Amino acid sequence: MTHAAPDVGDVHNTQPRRAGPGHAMALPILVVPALVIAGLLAMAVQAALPDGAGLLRALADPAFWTGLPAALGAIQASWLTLTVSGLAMGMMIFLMASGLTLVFGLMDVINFGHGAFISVGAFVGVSVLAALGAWVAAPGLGANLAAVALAVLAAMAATGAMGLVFERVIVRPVYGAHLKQILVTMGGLIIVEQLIHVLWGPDEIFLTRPEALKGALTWQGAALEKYRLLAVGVGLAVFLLMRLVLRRSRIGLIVRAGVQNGEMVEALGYRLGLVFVAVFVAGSALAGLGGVMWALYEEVITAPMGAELMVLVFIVVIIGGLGSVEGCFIGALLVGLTQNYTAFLEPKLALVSNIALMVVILMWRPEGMLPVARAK
Amino acid sequence: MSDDDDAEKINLRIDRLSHAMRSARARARGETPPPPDPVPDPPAAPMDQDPAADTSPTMPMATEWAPPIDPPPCDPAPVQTGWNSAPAPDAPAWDPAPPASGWAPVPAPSYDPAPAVSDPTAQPFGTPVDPPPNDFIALPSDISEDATLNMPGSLGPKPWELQTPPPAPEALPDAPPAPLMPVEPVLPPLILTDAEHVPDPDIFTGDAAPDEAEVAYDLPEPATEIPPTPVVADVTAPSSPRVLAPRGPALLQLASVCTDIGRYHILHGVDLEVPTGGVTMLLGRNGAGKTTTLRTIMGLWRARAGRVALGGQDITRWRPHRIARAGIGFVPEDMGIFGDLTVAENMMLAARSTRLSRDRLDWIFRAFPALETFWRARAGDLSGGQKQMLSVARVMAEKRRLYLIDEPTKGLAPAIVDTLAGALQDLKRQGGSILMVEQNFAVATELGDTAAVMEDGRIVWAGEMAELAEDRALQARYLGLNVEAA
Repeated sequence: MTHAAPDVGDVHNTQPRRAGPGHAMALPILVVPALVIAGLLAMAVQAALPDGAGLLRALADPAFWTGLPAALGAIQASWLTLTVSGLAMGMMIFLMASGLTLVFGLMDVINFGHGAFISVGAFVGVSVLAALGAWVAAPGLGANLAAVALAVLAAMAATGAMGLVFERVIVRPVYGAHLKQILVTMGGLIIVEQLIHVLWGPDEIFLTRPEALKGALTWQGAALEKYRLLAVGVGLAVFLLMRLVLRRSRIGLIVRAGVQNGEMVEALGYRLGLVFVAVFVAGSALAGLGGVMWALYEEVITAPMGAELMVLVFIVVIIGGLGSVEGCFIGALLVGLTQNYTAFLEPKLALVSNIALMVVILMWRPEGMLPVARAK
Repeated sequence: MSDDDDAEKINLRIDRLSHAMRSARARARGETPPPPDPVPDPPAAPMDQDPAADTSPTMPMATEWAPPIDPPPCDPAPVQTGWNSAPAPDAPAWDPAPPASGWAPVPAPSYDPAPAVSDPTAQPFGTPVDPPPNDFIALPSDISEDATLNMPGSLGPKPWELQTPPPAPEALPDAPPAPLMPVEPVLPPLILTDAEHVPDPDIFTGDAAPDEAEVAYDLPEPATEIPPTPVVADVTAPSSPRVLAPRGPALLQLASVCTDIGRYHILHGVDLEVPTGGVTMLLGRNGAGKTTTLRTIMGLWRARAGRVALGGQDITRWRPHRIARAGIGFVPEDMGIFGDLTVAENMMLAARSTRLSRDRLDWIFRAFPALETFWRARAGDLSGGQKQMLSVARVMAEKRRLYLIDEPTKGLAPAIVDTLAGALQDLKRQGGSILMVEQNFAVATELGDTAAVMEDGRIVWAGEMAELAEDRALQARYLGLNVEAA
C-alpha cells in the first residue's frame, strides 16, 4: 500500500478514449505514408507513359494500364533510394528546426539567427574532423564513428555556448517586439557569417566522409547510401529522445505548458526565463548537430549555408504548427520527401515544391498541422 | 489591446451611469438634480466636481481624488437594521442612500443592474437581504458535477461521459469509496476541528508525504509594518451576529497601488487589506479593476506606484514566480488551463514544491469527482465547468498562504457553481486565506467574510460582507444591485 503520488500510470481509465495528443496527431502523421505512396504511384505513371504522350490520353489507353505493373517494378528501386534520401534530408532538417520551433513557441521569439548556429556547427565539426584526419581516413568503423561523434560533440558544445551568448546579448533586449527581433537576429546572423569568413576564410571547404560511411548498401536492387541511413537513425533517435523528455520529465511538462501559457507557468512558481534559456541553448546545440550532419551529407560547407537552409527550416516550422515538436518532425519529413520526389519527376518544379507544399498544408490547416493550443 | 479599449469604454460608461444614479438619488431626496452634463459624453474629470459627487464616499488616500468640497452630509436615513447602528467613531460618514421605498417614482437608470446573471436559473441574485444560513454545502441543491453530467441529454454528453459509474475503487486500494453519484451532500472536511480556529493548520499530519510547502516559503512570519489604511478601518466595526472565520492580522496589504495597462490608467491607488484566514470578496462592476488588482498582486502587471506587501514583506517588484513561491496561488479569470496537457499533468505542475500527496488528491477528488473521472484526459477536452474545477483544484494542490481566485463561477451552471462554492468553503474552513473576485452576489454572500468594493480603479467601500449583504442601499450604490427589486 504505497501512498505514492499518482504518476501518469496511476489512476484508472474510465474514459474509453485515449487521452493525450495521440488522437490529434493521428491524421497529420498519416500524411507521410500517403506522400510516400503517392510518390511511388507518380513515378510509376511517369515510367509507364509513352514518350510524348499526354497524361489524359494515356489514361484512356488500356495499354497504359497493362504496362503499369511492369513500370511499378521498374521504378521500385529508385523509389526506395529517393525515399531513404528524402527521409534522411527530412531528419536533418528536423534536427535544425526542432530548436527553433520550441524557442518560438515558448517565448514568441523569431530567431533568424538560428541559421548561424547551423553554419558554425558545420565549420566547427568539419575542423574537428580535419584535425582527426587519421581517424577519418582509417577504414575501421569504430575510429570513423568516434571521429564523427567527437566532431558532433564539439559542434554542439560550440553552438550551445554561442546560443547562450546570443540569447543574453542579442535576443534578450528585444523580447516582445517582433520587428526588432527580426532585424536584430538577422544582424546577428550576418555578423556570425562574417566571423566565419574571418576565422575559416572566404572559400567553401570540401570534405570527404569517413571511410566507413562512404558508399552504399544494396537492398532489393536499390542503392541506399550508408550515410543517409545513419542520418535517418540519428534523427529518429533525437526525435524519440525529445518526445520522451517532453512527455515524461518535469522540465518537459514545464516546456509544454509554457508554450501554451507561459504566464500561468510563472504564476505556478516556475522560472520560465531559466527554462527558456535552457531550451534556447539546447535548440542551438541541435542546430549545430544538424549542421555537422548536413556538412557530411553535402560534403561541402560555406558560410551562408545556414541562412540558405533557414528557408527550409522556416517552412517546416510553419507547416508543423509553431511550437510543436511532433508537427515539426512530420513537416520535415514531408519537405524532404517532396523535394526528392519532385526532383526526380520534374526537376524544374523542385525549386517551388516546398513552397507549394506549404501552401497546400496551410490551406488544409491554416495554423499548421499540429498547432499548439495557445492561451493567448 | 482591444481589452484596453473595452476597459476604457466600460469605465466611461460606468461614469455616465453613476452620474445618472446620483442625479436620480438627488431627485428622490427632493433636491434639485445636478445640472445635466454639457456634452453627452463627458470626460470623467468634471463629474467629480458636480454637487452630487459628495454622495460618493471620499477616500482621502486616493492620489487623484479631489477633496470633497463640503463635508459629506451625514444623513442617517432610517434604513434597514444592522447598518450604521453602531458606526465606528471615525468611520467615514457616507451618505446612505434613502430607503428603498424612495426609489419608486424614479425611473430606474437604464442599464442592466446585474452584471453576472448570464444564467437565468442562477441563484436569486437581487435578494440577498437575509443571507442563507452558513451551511451552504449542505443544501440539498448541492448536486455534484457527476450528477449533472449524467443527466440524460443535459450537455450533449460525450461518449466517455456516458460510461458511469467510474470503477474507481479497485485502482485505489487505500482510497475511501469513490464518490459515486448522486453525491455526498456534505464535503467531508479534511480537517478535523474547525472549532479550534487554528489559522493555518497543517492539513496532513502523520502522512507519508509531509507537506513541505512551509519550507518553501522563504518569508519570515508577518511583522506588520504598514499602518492600516483608513479604508479598512471599519473592518473591525461591529456588525451582524454571523459567525466569522477566524481572522488574524493582515496577510496582504495594498497601499495606493496604481497600475497602467498600456497607456490606460486602470488602478488609481488601491488600498486593500486581506486578513489572515477567511474570504475577502472583491466586488464591483465590470471594468472597475478587480482582475487588474489580482494580476498586480501576482506580479503579472507591474504596479506603477504603490506597495504590495505579503506578510509585511514588500513584493511589489517581485517576478511572478517568486510571488508564487512566497505562497500565493492564483486562479486567473481565463482559468489558465494547459489544454494540451492531461488533467494529471496539470495537477503535477501545480504541486511545485511537493509531490502531490495521496491525501490531498483524495481531498481534491472528493471536492471535484469529475477530475478523478477525467484524470488522464486532455485538459483542453474538458467542459467549461470541469476546466474551472481543474483551475481551482490546481491551486489546491499545495498549501498556500493566500489564494487569489478570479471569478470562479463565471458562466457556469448552478450545480457546478455549488460544487465550486463547496470546495472553496472547504478551503476556507481549513484556514485558507482567500481573496476572490465574484460577480455572483449570492455566492459572494455565502463565502465572503469581508468585502471590498471597487469602482473606477479604487476601493470605495470595505467592510464586513454581512453588512454589505444586508444593506440594499450600499449594494445599489456600489454594485448596481436591487434597483428594480426595491
